[in-house]
Amino acid sequence: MSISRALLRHKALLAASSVVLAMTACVGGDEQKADDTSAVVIDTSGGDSEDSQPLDTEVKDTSVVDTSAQAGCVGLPAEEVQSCCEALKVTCDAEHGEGSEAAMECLYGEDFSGSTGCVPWGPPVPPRSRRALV
Amino acid sequence: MHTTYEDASAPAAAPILLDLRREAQARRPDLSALPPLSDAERQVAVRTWRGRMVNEHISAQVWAGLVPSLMRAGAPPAALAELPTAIADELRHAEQCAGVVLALGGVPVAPLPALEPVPLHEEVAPLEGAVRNLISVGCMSETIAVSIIRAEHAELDDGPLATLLGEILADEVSHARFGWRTLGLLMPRLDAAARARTSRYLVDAFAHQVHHEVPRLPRFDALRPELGQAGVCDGGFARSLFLDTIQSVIVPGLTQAGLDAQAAWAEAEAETRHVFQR
Repeated sequence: MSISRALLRHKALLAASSVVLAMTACVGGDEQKADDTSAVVIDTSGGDSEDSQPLDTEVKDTSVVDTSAQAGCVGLPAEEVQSCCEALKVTCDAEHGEGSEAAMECLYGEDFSGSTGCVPWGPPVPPRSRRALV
Repeated sequence: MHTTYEDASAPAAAPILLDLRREAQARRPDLSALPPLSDAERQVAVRTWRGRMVNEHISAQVWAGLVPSLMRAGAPPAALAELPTAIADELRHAEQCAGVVLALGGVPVAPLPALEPVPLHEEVAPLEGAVRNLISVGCMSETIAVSIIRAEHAELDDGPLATLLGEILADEVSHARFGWRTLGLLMPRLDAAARARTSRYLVDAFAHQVHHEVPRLPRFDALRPELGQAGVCDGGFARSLFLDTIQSVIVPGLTQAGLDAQAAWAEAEAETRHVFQR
């Protein structure tokens, strides 16, 4: 299926906007009703026109960095994965210090939270607050 | 599932492996109609789906962690009752992703990262802490997931993978709606000071999303449509969609909830600008 980036973006943001409406459905009240268009997507991408260019964002271009080689054990036959990981952990701990962040990156790859592919879908653990709050 | 559980008393425990080979057999879709992929492309697809397998699996514990957080906050039973469904959904998604890994010729085994507990934010009242977690999980992570998966789904031709992604998308929509709906229930119970603190927390929550998502969105400058049909998305497009979803959907939604989301996003964006340039 060939589908333009603009249409993909439109469909994606429409789907995301639809879930926000769940909040207004239960909050109620004049204030929310008066402002309930704020979650509506404003599509400035040119509608359904073909658009092969990256969207206009502040994202800077970066090259592909495939860190999967660092977590290479997952590419082995299943019966060899355990022993490979154990050996790799020994090596990484010895080189970077057991449990250190560098050792974890050595073991899992620098981008590891499970994914060396595209998008981590599952929600991560929420962060703790880093700020002094009053 | 065959998981090697860590013994906390062991000085140098081996990595914990998530092994979904058995579950994958039962969930394996028929991908025989996929267009031909090179070996390198097939490996990219396998890594993508295996990464999703891990992330979906471990996200079950995030939803489980919302139970005590929301219960301490006095959330209504109807809301609490939705959490076990979300947990089961995420575990099933992991199995479905494992099935795709297997169908692509990969092995659905991967090391698990360390699992952190869901914070109770004990420096603030339970209600405020629960709102923080809801925002991070339901209103941010799951809403972004809806956007990204919707785009991926729209790119797929009809077939087993589109069916599978459609099922996952429907669940993620349900999870995100839960987040926003429950936020709508709890926000009126926060006083002005708590709302102000929650607005400040948004800076951390937005920055966390950037750190979690953006480095794992590799750019495939010339992604062949065939690879897209295997469920691999263009990381560059996903990055732009990630930003669009925050700016066009999440910030307005949180503003509508009574939080100063625009200022928080501006601060988080400035803090994390370097992440996009890596």
